[in-house]
Parts: sequence; C-alpha cells; structure tokens
Amino acid sequence: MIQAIQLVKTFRDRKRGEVRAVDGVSFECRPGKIFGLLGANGAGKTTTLRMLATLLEPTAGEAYIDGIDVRLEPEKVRERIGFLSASTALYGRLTAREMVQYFGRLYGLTEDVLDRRMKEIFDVLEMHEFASGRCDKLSTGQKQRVSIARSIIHEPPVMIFDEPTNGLDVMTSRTIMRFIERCRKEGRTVIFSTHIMSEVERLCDEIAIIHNGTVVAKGTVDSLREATGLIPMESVFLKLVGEPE
Amino acid sequence: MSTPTPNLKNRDLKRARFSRIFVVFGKEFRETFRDTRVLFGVVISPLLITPLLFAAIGFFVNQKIAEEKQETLSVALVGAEQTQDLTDTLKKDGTLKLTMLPNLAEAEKQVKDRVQRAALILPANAKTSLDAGETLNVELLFDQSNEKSRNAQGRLKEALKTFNEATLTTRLQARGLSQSLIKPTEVKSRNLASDKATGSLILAMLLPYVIVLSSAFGGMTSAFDTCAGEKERGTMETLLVSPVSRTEIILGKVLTIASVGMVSAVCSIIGILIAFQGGLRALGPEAQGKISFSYPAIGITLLLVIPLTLFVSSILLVISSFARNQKEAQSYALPGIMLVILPAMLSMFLGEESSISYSVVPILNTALVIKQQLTNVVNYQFIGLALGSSLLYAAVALAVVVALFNREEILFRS
Repeated sequence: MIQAIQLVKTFRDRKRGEVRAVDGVSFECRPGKIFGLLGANGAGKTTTLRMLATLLEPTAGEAYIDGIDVRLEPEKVRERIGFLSASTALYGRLTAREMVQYFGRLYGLTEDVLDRRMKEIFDVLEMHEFASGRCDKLSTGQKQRVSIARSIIHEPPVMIFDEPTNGLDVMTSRTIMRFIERCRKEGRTVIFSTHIMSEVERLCDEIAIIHNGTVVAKGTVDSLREATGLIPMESVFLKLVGEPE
Repeated sequence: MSTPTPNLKNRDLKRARFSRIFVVFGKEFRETFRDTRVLFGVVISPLLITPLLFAAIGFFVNQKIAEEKQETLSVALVGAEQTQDLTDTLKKDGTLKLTMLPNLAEAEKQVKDRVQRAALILPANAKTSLDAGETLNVELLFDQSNEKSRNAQGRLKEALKTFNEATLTTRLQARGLSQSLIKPTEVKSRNLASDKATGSLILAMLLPYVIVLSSAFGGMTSAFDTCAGEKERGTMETLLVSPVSRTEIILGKVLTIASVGMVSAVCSIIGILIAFQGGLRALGPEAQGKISFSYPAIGITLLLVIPLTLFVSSILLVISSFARNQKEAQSYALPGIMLVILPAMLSMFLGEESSISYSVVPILNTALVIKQQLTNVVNYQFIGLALGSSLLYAAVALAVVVALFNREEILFRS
C-alpha cells in the first residue's frame, strides 16, 4: 500500500531560484493493482517516485509505504520496496550472480534464503545461462533481467517503476511489461511512471495525470475517457493537461 | 516466482550496521581489484615496473662507470722538456694518452676541438722553479661542457697529486726532515653505525616518501570510480534504494579506499626493496638495500599509516561525492595532490630528529615517524603527537564525507 498526501518537493536552482518540482501530489495505490503516473518529461513523476523510495526527502506533505512514514523510517521503507528505472544501472565488473547476491546481502537475507531466492528467480527469468557473465558484457535484455532480479530478490510487497522501458527495444520492453503484470498477479502494490500511452492502456488499473508538479486528473482509463469524451489516450491526456491537440 | 512475504522474518534479516558496512566493503574491494587501471597502478606497476626501472638504471649506471674507468683519454702537455719527472708520472697513468705540444695556443685549439680532452701548461721557468724548491704554477685547460674533458681534468689532478707527494718526499729527504713536520695530525675516522644502518641511508630517505604517497594515492582511482563513477554510470541510485544507510555506504567505501591504499603501500615497499637488492649497487654502500626494520617499528608505521589512509581516502571521497563524473573529480583533485606531495617530499630533506612541531603537520608527521623508525630514533612524544593529530584529522575528514554523502543535493547533483 502506498499513500502520498500533499507531497511537495522544492529545489534551489542557481538560475531559476526556488523550483517546485512537485506541488501537493496526493494518491493511493493498493495491493494487487497497478497505479500509473502519467506525465510529460519534467512533470514531476521521477521526483515523486524518488520521494516514495526515500531517495529524496519531501519538503512538505507525507508519504507512507505499508503504513511506514518515508521520512521517519526510510531504511524500513527501503526494505519493503523494489525500485526499477531505466537509470538504475548494474555494476559492470560484477557478474550477474554477484550483483543479485550483493543486493540480497544488503537486504539482510541469510545465505541459505538468498541461495533459494536466487535459484527461484534465475529459473523464472531464465538467467542461469549468463549468471556467471560480467554485467558489462551482457546484452541489454540480459541486463534488464538482472535488474529485475535485483529489485525482487527481497520479495518486496511494493514495486516502484520509474519509466522502466525508457530507451529499451520492443523485446526488452515486453520483458519488463510482463514482469510488472506478474507483480500485480502476485499481489504486490505497483506504481509505474510513464509517458507512453500504450503502456498505460495495457497495464494500469488506475492512473494519475501529473502536470507541472500537480495531479490534474485521477481515475481508471475508462473513467478518464468518459470524463473527457475522448477515446485515444493521447487525446485524453492532452485535454486534461490543457494542451491543444 | 513465489508470492511476496511483506514481513520478512527476523531470522532472515541481519540488521547489524557493521555487517552491512562490510558487505559494501567486500563488494567494493572485489570490484576495485577487477579494474585493470587499479590492478596496474597498485600491484603490477610497483611490483614489476619499479624494480625493472631501477634495475635498468642500475645496469646503465654500472656500465657507464666501468666504461669511464677503462677508457683512455687523450691529454696534452706543454713544456714537457722542463720536467722529466712530471712527464714520467703522466706516462705511467695507463688511462691517459699523453701528447707533447709546442705551445699554449696549440693546446687551447686542440682542447676546444676535442682532439685532446685536457692539457697541462708548464711555465717556461718550470725547471728552475722546481729545482729551487718553489711552488710551480701550472695551468690546466679543459672544457667544462664536455664530460670526457671533465674526467680528463680529474685524472690530471690525480696525477699532479701523485707528483706533488713524490716531489715533497724528495725535498724533505734532501733537507733531512721528517714527513711528520708537514702533517701535525693524521685523522682515522671510525664509523660506529652498523652496516645495516649505513645501508639504509637512501632507503630511510626514500621509503617514508614512497609509503606516504602510495598509501595516500593508491586508492585514488578507486575513490573516483566508486563515487563519481557510480553517479556517472547510474549505479548510485541502484545502491541508494537498498536499505543500507548512506552512512554505512560511505563508511564501506572509505574502508575500501583506505585498504587499497594499504595494499598499494605494501606493494610499493616490496617493489623498492626488490629494486634496491637488484639494481642500484652502483650507487655505493648507501644503496645496498640492507635495512633494519624491527617489528615494533613496523607496528608503529602501520599505526600511523592507518589514520593517514583514512584521512586521505575521506578527502578523496569528498571530492568524488561532490563531482558529477570521474573527469570532474580528477580536475578537482589536482591541487590537492600537490598538498600531499609537498609535505611528503619535505620529509626527504628533514632529519629524523626534527622539531616536535612537525609532529602535528598532516602527512609530514607520518613520513617523519617512518623515517625515525628506519633510523632507530625513538621519540615517543613525537609518535604520540603524530598519532593523536593524525587520528583527529582522519575523524574530521570522515565526519565531513559522511555529512556530505547524506546531502541529497550532492548525491543527485547534475
């Protein structure tokens, strides 16, 4: 379960002065559902997700992961989340196995639990073939599978995906999409940011459209179509953010 | 994939801070030594390149000295007819090829043209002057800009010294006087230092510098790779979403850099000792590589090197945390490198019994304590102050890097 209540994040910029990257964002994501944050580049999606993942501290507002305050107990929060984005890279000089092992140990898993979890995940993601290969020698698709394994090794109840398919080819994107669907099936709470409309239509049970740091609309894909009277998601999105088509 | 277990059982979680710091350290250390740049700089270069380089220098210096000793140099004498004794002395020297020249102008021309390497010019009244027991003014022509000419000058001076001694003996005997008349004292120096202490002279000067520099900068590549490099490659974000705290991460990294520095120092010491054993015999007994380093001395050196590596590692990580990428980190580090090199170099010229005030100068204090250990100087007050101040500097630098690493505007600086 994720709760964001009036989240605010401001940055100090030398040229622009104080910038409100996120300005009073509120939403709730439930277990077994995929919640989509839809917005253009610079809308505030990444900053919001980074606050939920405790990478950034909110300037104001509150956020809870499974009832735990991100501000008060960030380490406890991080134990309960899996975070995957296009920019969460791998350690090139570690092998795929060492990479997953390292994170398993950071999550405090004992060696026997870690071995069992790694075998399960490597089976499901078909990683055994390249498990001993150095990450910098893997293909993009193989790297993405290692990232998935890294994010799920501690069985987090909450998954945060920040534009996870950015810059990936169709085949690799499909692996990620299937993984997100699997997370829902397994009962995890999933939050997913994107600016790709087809991903929203395929995956999201509920969405929030974020623009200039604020949530301008919330609901299911169908309810937003109904509210705008438009069918293509691109048109729905443009209308809600006040941009001409 | 199995269903999630929202509350991981306590037995599955090891929350001890130290274990996480060591997990970070273990991974960083392993990854660091897979970096060919680090492997080359920290292990291969000091253990292989340095001894080979020193061996090559030693070989060429030895060869040159041998060649110089054997080579016959052409010298000229003007006014040879004046004194047969001097001519005979010069002829006896097998390393000189003597040519008689008629006048000064010809001698100057031939020395300038390097036909002759040096020339002795006797005055016209040389015979009369010598027979009368006077001091003969002899002119020696040579070319300062030419190495062989300088050598020929040296050999001619030696030959003149032999001639002077022989002539003096003859003059004293003719007057019935003893040699002791012109030599009221005869000095016989006796060196009380052991062979080992004498042998360690150059090492005592060089090793503190090498130990300090290698332990300080051995981990530099790793420091820039592990922080600025992580930001650059995007692995920093991956690491920060794990439950390990930022303080634990940075402590694991500091520990890694400091350890790489220690490995670097050990490899450099071994490399220098191999080099001294192998290649530098030509430089005389001071460079024979015999060294006296007792166990307590090793212990004291280690005790001082640990805070030094922690201090410099923390500073390198401050730079690395602040920089956006490795290139930027390298640019920021340049002035800092000089700040470490200068006090380390200063230790080469300061004596082991230096002023107590140097014991609180960072870097220099460690180098001087190592120098004291190598020359068997025991000064507990100096060691205590050096250790105390080094620990303080390390603690302050560590606190700064921990504080900096906990600031999100630094970690996400772009």
